[in-house]
Amino acid sequence: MTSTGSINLPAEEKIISSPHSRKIRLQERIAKSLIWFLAVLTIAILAWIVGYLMVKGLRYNNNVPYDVTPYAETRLSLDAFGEDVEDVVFIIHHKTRSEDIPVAGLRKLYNKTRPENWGFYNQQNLRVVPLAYEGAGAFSAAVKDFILTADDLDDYKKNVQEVDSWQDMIEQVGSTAGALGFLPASEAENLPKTVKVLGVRRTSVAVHPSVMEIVDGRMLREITSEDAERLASGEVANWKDVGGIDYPVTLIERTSDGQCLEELQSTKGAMLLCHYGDVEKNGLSILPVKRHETGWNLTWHFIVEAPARSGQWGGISYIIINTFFLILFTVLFSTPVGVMAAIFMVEYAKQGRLMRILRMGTETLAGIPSIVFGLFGFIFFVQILGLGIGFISSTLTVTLMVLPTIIRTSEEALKSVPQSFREGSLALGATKLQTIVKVVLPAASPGILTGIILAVGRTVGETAVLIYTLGSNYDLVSGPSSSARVLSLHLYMLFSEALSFDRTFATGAVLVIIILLTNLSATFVMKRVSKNTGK
Amino acid sequence: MKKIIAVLMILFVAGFAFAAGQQDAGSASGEASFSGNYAFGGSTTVEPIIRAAAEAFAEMYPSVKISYDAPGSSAGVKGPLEGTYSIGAASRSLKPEEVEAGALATAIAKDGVAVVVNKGSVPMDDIKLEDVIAIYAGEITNWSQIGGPDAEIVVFNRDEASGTRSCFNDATVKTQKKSFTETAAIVTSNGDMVAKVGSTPYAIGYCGFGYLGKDAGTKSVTVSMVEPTVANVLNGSFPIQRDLILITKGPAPAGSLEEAFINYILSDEGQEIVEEEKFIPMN
Repeated sequence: MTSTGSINLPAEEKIISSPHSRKIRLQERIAKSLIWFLAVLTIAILAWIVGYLMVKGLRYNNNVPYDVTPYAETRLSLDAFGEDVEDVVFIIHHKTRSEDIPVAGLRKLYNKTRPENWGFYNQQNLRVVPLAYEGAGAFSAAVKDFILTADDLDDYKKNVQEVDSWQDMIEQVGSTAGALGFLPASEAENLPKTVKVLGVRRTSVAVHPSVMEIVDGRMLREITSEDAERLASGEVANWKDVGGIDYPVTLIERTSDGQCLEELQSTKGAMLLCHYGDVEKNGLSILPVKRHETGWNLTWHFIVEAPARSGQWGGISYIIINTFFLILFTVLFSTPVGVMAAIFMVEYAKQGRLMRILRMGTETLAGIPSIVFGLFGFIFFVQILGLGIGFISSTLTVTLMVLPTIIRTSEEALKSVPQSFREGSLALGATKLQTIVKVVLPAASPGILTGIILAVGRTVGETAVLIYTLGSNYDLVSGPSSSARVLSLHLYMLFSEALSFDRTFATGAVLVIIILLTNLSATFVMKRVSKNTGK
Repeated sequence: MKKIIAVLMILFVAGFAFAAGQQDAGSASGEASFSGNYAFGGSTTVEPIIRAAAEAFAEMYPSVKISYDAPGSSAGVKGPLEGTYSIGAASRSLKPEEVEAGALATAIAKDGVAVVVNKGSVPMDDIKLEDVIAIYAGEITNWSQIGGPDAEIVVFNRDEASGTRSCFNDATVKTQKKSFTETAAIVTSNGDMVAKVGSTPYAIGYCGFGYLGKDAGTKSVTVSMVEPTVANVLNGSFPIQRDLILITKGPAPAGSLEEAFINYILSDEGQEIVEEEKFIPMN
């Protein structure tokens, strides 16, 4: 047909424009644009998936409802039985990753029988060391009263440590990981860098119970912080504007006596901004306020810290190391066996019916879903051989799973080495073994490496096999029989147990990065190897 | 090739040195009166309590390693009887034949089972108990039948091995001599339940109180206007509740780790963990 030429030469279009050639040109154009469209679509989808995973993995963006408003106070005024005392400032060790805390949390940090952990508030697995100073008269008494509110305690719990002076407080908080202390506002100026101020959120939106009543099967559960501001400034006239009942909002001013509380409890649709402590003491209804929280998800800490509390606290360092151990041992077990099997199949075996069956067998094995291998590993290694759920069972099972891949790719690599290489070597007087080791294997090494990298990729991404054979312990692998967790399994657990969505994505991002690095290093290694063998 | 092998060897040795160092660090500190590996397992509901308690326990006795598998309450009862676990955990009460086989239950906490729905798509905050029953029996299939939007109800149920399922079954559909609908999607744990209900529009499910609020996409609803709160479980007005139990084969031998572990969970500190994980302490 002449039309193929006419596409590149528009000048000819006018000359050759029979209906037939026009039709063919149209076909060509449609086909070309379709291919372009599909190519662009594929790239866009890939970029979107990776981009989405990375963005979600790197940043978190949540609206979390709290009993207190997002407003954080660094200097808290105290009620001190009529006496006038200074404001109090709470300080923490500078490496504690909290900026502010709800007042109920602050009290828990001091008042728990079991030592409290910062993990509940900032996912940092760190024991809280509460410090107190009782030598400052009315101020100390007022702080104590503030901390012990709502717990039926007369004195600090025994795990609260006493310090000797405010100077001592600053020094101890600055030198103890996880420490928490307090200072009068006047002492809290020019604090050293080892100490930082912890904000306290203690303002609550207290409402008349009617506001949170269930009407027609619906109720107002929580409001956004913007709505809370609008309510407090009187901009919202009716609860229905923020999704609640159809009743006017009555804003009540906070007074120092109990007047406002009584008013709140007797006025339908009333709302009062007051301290969380008042709410607790009087058993008022609280309207939770959502706080918008955003920040880095995949941080340095997440990668280097050890996991705790089912992975809800700390990081994933052990899990990354476990993953590398699994890869390492799988490669160590599977490569020699796989490569030797391939050498046998290419160099030694007679190419007959048996070989065909063997080849078909390996191909079938390579295509079997991994869960089947998991079942086999569970029955054979875990139960029949009695190795138990642990590292060795899973490594052996994964080895079996990746063997076909390694055998197939190594075989292809060995086959692609030109016959003349072997003939030349043999002609120079080398034995068959020498030929294979010194001539054929080096020439085939890029292909074999590709097979190993594919195997690594499959190992990193494996979950189904590992659920049955590796268990789910998130400690570091300490021996052949220890149950462990790798990245993909950790991701599955975090998601399926609803432990943390953010951490799931962060783990996913780490997986993507590891696979990216593996592939990059693979191309790099292969380039180096082929350069060396080429010389 | 040599270089690669060298690098691999270095990684290998470094890895082992690291692992060995970790182990030494573990066994060096603290006077251990208990040591060794212990396998516990069972209910997914009880899992957070056991895991937290095991972490606290491991701090007291650094050479003790406690693992916990969570295949469900049935395994938690079978495990100790068959010897797979030295302590099992279940979120349902023992059946007579299990007690006969030698299973001994120690209640460690109380729990209620709350009905949860997808927050974004289901506007209702209260569902009547009879409607919950009808939904789970497959008689009501559309939200519009109980005053909601015109959309198919996506029912999530737990697996047969679940203690939460058997408790929910006893308190709901079984009371009306009905049985669960066959068309429900099955999830395998409480966490899985809240994750799925939270991410599926028009979904309904149920979970232990400890899992409320773990997924931002779910909300609990009141059942016949009774709120799923601790107070309502304690005064008996909340209809769906149960004891969480630890199971041993006969009483745990005196002086054993199992005995110490159970006593730890029943102690003030252990009960504080129960509270931390949003379950209801025994006292």
